[in-house]
Amino acid sequence: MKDMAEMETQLSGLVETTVVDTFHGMLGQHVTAMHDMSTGTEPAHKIHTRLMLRESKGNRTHENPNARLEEGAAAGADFCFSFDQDLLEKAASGFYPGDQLQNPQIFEDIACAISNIVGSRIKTWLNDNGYDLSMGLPFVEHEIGGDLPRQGTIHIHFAYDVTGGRHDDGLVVDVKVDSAAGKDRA
Amino acid sequence: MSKVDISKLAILVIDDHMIIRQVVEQNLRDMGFSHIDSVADSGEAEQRIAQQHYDIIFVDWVLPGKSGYTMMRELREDRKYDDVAFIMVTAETDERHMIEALKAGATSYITKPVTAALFQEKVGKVVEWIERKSSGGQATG
Repeated sequence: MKDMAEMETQLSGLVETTVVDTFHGMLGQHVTAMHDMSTGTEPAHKIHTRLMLRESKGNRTHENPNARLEEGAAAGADFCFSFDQDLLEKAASGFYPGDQLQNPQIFEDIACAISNIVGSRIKTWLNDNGYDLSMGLPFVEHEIGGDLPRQGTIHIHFAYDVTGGRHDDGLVVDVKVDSAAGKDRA
Repeated sequence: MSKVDISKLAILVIDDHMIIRQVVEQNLRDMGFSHIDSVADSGEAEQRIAQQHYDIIFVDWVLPGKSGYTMMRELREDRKYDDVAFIMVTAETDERHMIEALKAGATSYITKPVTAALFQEKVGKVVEWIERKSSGGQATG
């Protein structure tokens, strides 16, 4: 079993790589992870998504690798994503005609699709490292007016390029991993 | 050079995320495919599949209702779908899942995020598979 600090370093790198690859390789947008957290700001126009990994209790199957999360199952990891809607609009503009870009469901869908990809990568990595986790479906937090409560030990800001400069608030990813869910394994 | 006219192949894309359907459709159009339908869940997919023949079906593993994996496995049990290529497009990157998908009848497996280069390579091989099938050759997936 890796120690927690080593695990978080590797997970942080995996989150960074997956987010950058997803935006660049799939959506044609360039984002950059910011390692100087003091300069990172929260997105101005936010779409928040959340995602949970929970202990499978042996119920994970090939039929559905993300089987319904068990009631009361131990936490594996909690994700909070805060997207700048302008970044999502840039990404969406490559796939949707302009008149459809008024539809907020398009941005929420992209936000959830990205969250799903990042969460799946982390789930696979954790399961390869002694956990046995299932993933819930990502969902949009409509009720939160301000910022999500940040509890994670992995906290990464992603900047994105705009005409004539760079916005340092494209996406904030916050991950809290529960070491207890993976103990006594591997 | 492929002998199959890919502009005539009928494609079905099944994914609950609109953006993934858009990405897959755009990559397909860039390759020259033009007969492309897309749906968000397995129920609608099964209706479409019952109504018309598709040459390639892109299916997400996790879908609302019946999973894409289950739907594909059930269709594979029916010999009339032997010539249909199933491509699993999923965020599941676990190698065991890839093996399970192939065992259950997937012709190919593409992990998300979907990138153009990998997509075109994998779909190109599937078109070759269709070509071998249509010429009576041994299909190897």
